[in-house]
Amino acid sequence: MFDKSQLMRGTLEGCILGIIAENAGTSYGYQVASALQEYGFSKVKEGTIYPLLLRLERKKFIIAEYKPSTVGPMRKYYTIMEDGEKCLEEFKQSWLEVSANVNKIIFKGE
Amino acid sequence: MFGIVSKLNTENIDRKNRLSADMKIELEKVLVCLKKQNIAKTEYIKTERDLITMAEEANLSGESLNDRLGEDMNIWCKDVAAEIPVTGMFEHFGVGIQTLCAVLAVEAFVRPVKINGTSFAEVTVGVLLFMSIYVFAVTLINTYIGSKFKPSVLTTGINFGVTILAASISIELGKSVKTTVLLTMNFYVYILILIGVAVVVQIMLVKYYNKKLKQDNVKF
Repeated sequence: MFDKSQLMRGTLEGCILGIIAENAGTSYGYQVASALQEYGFSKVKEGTIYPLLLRLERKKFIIAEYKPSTVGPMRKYYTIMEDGEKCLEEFKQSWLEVSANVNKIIFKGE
Repeated sequence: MFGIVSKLNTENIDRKNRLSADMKIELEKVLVCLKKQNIAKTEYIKTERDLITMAEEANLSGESLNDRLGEDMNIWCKDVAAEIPVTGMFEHFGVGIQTLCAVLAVEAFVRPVKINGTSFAEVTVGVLLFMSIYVFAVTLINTYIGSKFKPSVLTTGINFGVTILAASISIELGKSVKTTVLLTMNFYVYILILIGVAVVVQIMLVKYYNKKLKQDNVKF
């Protein structure tokens, strides 16, 4: 049976960077997870993306800042950094190439 | 020294106390699991803060923390630990042993040379001992504050290098490698001076790490 998680692992980082870039400083864990769910990643929860956010922070692709939220408690808001933007651009290019190549192979006869 | 860490810790305790009883129990279970991962103290407190944030929001939306985590907490904790600096007891033990070896090797070197009153040896010993104590100080800092560089790679590497260097000098000189526990008065003076230098370096490093932590993501 096909292991979808392997495919997800490689692409989720790029998608998270895309969402954080789109929301310019207003993204927080739950919001990123909800956005991913809206885009069709139905099984992605806040906990699933937390280690990925840590990794992106460690690579200095994003920066996190604790600020009070509109509903009360403090929230960790993420902003994309210059290196993150570069990585996102590279991801977009790679994704276009990979998806085009995969499509060519697996949908050859359709 | 641990101002930021203790402030963060106090803040976490206050926030935990404001959670509902059920959420508190749920959170504690995850924290126990996280503690088992042997994460550096600062990293643990920072992760705890993020978990409390998740728990607070779950409280508001009427969800459970497990709903937010979305997977088995044991797997989640391992995933998190894989992304942050982890300091294992084994590594600390190893670094400690290596530091001791370096000091003993240097002592083995200095004892015969000191008798001849070679100033070069004094300088060499000073540098080697300083490096050993410096590395030990860095290891301590890594243990308590958490680090941007992994202690397992850098400090162990430096320490191993110092050990090899000190031991090879001892053998090179053809002097006795036999070490003694009783050190000369001069050796004690060296150690005291070097500990003083190490303390200053440690204070400077702590200031640097505190600054880094502030820049990183901690806004109070």
